[in-house]
Amino acid sequence: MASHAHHHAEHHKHPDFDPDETLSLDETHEDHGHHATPFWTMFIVFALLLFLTVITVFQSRIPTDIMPETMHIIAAVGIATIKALLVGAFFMHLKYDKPMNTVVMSATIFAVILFIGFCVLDLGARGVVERKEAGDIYTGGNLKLYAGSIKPEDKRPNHPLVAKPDGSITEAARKDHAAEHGNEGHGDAGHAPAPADAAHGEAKPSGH
Amino acid sequence: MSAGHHDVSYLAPKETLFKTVWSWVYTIDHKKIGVMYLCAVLAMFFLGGVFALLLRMELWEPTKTTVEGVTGTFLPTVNTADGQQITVNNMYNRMFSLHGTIMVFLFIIPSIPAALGNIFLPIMLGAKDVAFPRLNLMSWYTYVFGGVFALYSLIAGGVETGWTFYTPYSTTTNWGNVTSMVLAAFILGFSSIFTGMNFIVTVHKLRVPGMGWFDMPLFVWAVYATAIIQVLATPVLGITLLMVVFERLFHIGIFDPALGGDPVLFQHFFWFYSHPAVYIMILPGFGIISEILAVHCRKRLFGYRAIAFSSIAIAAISFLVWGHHMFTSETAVANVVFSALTFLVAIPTAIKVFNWVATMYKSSISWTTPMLYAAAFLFCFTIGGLTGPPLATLATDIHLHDTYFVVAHFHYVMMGGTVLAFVGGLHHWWPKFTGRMYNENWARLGCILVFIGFNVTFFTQFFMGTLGMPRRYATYVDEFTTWHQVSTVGSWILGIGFLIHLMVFLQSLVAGRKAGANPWGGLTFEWEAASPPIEHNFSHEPVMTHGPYDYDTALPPHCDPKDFPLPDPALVRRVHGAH
Amino acid sequence: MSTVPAPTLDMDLPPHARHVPQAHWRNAKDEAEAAKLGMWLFLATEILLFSGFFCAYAVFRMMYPGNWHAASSYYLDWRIGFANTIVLLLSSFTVVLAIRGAQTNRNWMIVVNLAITNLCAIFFLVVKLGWEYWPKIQKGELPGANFDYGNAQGSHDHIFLSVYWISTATHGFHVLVGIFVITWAMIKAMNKHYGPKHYTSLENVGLYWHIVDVIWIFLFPLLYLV
Repeated sequence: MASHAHHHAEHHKHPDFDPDETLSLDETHEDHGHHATPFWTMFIVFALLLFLTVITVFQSRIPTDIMPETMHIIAAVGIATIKALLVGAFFMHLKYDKPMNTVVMSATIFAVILFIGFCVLDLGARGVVERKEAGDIYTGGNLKLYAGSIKPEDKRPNHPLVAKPDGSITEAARKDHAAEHGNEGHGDAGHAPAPADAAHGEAKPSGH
Repeated sequence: MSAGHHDVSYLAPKETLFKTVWSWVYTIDHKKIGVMYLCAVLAMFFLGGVFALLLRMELWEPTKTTVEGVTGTFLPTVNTADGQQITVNNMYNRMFSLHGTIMVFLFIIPSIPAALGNIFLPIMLGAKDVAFPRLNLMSWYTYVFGGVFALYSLIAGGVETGWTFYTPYSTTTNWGNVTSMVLAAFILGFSSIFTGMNFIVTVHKLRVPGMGWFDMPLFVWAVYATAIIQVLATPVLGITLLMVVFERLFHIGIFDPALGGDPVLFQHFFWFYSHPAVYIMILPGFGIISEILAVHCRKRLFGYRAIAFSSIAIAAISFLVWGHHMFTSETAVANVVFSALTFLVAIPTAIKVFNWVATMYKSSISWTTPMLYAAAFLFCFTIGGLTGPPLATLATDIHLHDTYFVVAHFHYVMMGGTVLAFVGGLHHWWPKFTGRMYNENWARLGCILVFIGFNVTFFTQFFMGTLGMPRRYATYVDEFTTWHQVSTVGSWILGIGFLIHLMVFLQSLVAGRKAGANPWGGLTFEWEAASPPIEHNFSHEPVMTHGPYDYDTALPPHCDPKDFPLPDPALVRRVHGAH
Repeated sequence: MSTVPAPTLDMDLPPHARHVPQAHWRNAKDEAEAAKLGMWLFLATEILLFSGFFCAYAVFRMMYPGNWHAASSYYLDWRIGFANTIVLLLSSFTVVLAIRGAQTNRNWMIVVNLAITNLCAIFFLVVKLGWEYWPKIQKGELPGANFDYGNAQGSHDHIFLSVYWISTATHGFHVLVGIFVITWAMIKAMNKHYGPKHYTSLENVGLYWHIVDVIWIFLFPLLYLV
């Protein structure tokens, strides 16, 4: 801990300028690397990280009738946050460094929370607030139309490949796929969808 | 290290032409990088300005155009896969998109921080260079690289998406060359990030010994606040544009409603960057105005700390308000929250304006060109600022959304704010970084023309907007003809004004009078350096003997006290109170 | 600043002991702290870059709550993710040990630990490419419009896979970049550029590697587990 006391003394000296410092090379070692990272602390942190990884896997195995999905997500993100804090504080030396680095990280995390929080506030609430289900938003399009394998004129209200507001794009597409390949053909490389260019070059999406 | 060739001007040529060119191409001198940035952003400004003039010309008549041939010459046609005719309407779309992308990404974002900031931020701190000179050079070449992508896109057909690249249009359209323009903006974002990182570290670690945070010039505070936004917001733009590119190339479907993705998510992603980005654009302008007002009014700035903190406050609030760009596309809950938060921005901004006006009160104003620009800024920016609340109010915004009212508001803030501040700052520091004076009377004429032209161009657009003229349309109903024609005439006056400035600058470079070290009697460190500064800025590290704006008590360096006398103490007491 | 004569350098000293700050720095301490602050700012940009993926994840999960978990457990094997998590944690720990090697002036400790780190990184990428990406490409479990819905499980599998692919691919790219910078640091260590007085760039490489690890710490449970 003596090294820590020394470390803080250094802080107080800054930012006062010591003109001799540029002259003397011997001074430089005082500036930097005044504490060696404690091995056993780091090892314990590493062990904790492994332990928490195992915990998060076990937690995810709990059936959803005991632990609802929302709780699962909260727990997983919580454990991950603890792990990230451990890495940040110890492995990344935030605990030992100048506080400015922690300020930078805090501002970043604040920005991330704002970003995700407001997006979720808006888009996550859409079904509740506007009384619209997510399915509504893609009625104008269809996977197959997009991949270029059906033409825009096939797109009429009751065509089986036009997406329904109940969100059954995949259902329609699966039926279509089965019709094309005779049975429940599990895709192989040969049946991969049309390359990206097809949608780009020929098929004009509707609406323009 | 030692004396000798480092004591000559940073502009001095080397022994051979090749060495001179190399000393610029591979420079790590922040001043040279700043000057290169300055040339590039000015070129981009004139390029974007040409597009603006063409736009206004196209709008001279309601339906058909008189300049079809002209635009056709400027923008070569592209072969579309399905052989669609490119109409003048497409040309119009392309022109406003190019005007927007060039002005936003290539001009206004790098304009003040990367050009003037690069040259003056280290000098104002008494430093020899920015913290990471090589990163600075990399930022410049990243900018060039991004610019090449943008110009390629321009030549290869341009874009029709507007500068916002809204999905799903930007991910599905075949017109022009969206992918390379999106990549250009992606790359330019990195240039901006590098500059921001560099400036934050420079401010933290390279202030001259004895210079505390509240001894820094306000331009530094403003650029510092800008840098915070650049670092925290720009990466989100990066990932957004990368996803647009993926969407175009691989159809990943994140933003594509046809695949269950969500275009409104794109709008959130985009505005999370692009709303803070308008503060990247305007905050450095605020900094310049603070400098100009203090120097040319010869008075201690009123409310130094309030101005400094309001910069940081604007940077912080800028992250809370992006949803006000989406009042017609997001849910009611988000609308209400974002609308309420948006009004917060008015507080720190108004604090600044009030402090500037209070600074001018009872000061000895010299009506130089920079000061004229500062006054023009106060007028235009206040109009721009006060037309913000109608757009932040949900009910009125539904009416005004995507009309010319928004166009006018944006231009009053960006052009009436940032560009006027930028040109003002350019005149203010021109003697310092070129070592030459410019012709004051011609520059004043240019400023007056710019001011008149700007207001004629854009004030009319407020009326058009409230009457319902939508933005981004190549045609309009006959009722708007007069408004549009007045606006177009204004754009010509504006163009002439800027051409006069260009001529003034060129004349100054060729035949301008040599500038002294401190022509305006400024107190900040850049006026202690020579004009133009030597390679390491100062022959001796400057010493803090007075605050940056202590005009009441400190005599400016390199000046005859007869030219810049101290004010009457009685007046100082009356204006500032006893202290 | 007054000009100082260039210091005479004892060329017998290893490079790390001969380090002189760049001309515009007032002292080596400022230089080192600035480099680290700059690195932290860069890490801030990295976190915000990845926050886009987490945001997309959150929004789509709320939008399509039905089969998200089912898609996750159908398309992804948690054991692969688990193995990669352990490997990345180990590599983070070895980076810490490498820095300790510099602090205690044990050059072999830097080199060996960085080598282990790099092996872990390569292991991670090999597992990712060989056991995840390649089978997925073969089975058509691709993002968005390229998704082969012949064997789809639910209505929005392709969106889950979009989020999975773009986030893990961007993370994988960062791992790849990490391998290069760690190799660079290893070469510097072999040339004795790091010592107790001077190891800032090693620290910064370590910080970068830790942030890659931290991002994976979040990606693993969100994509593979819950």
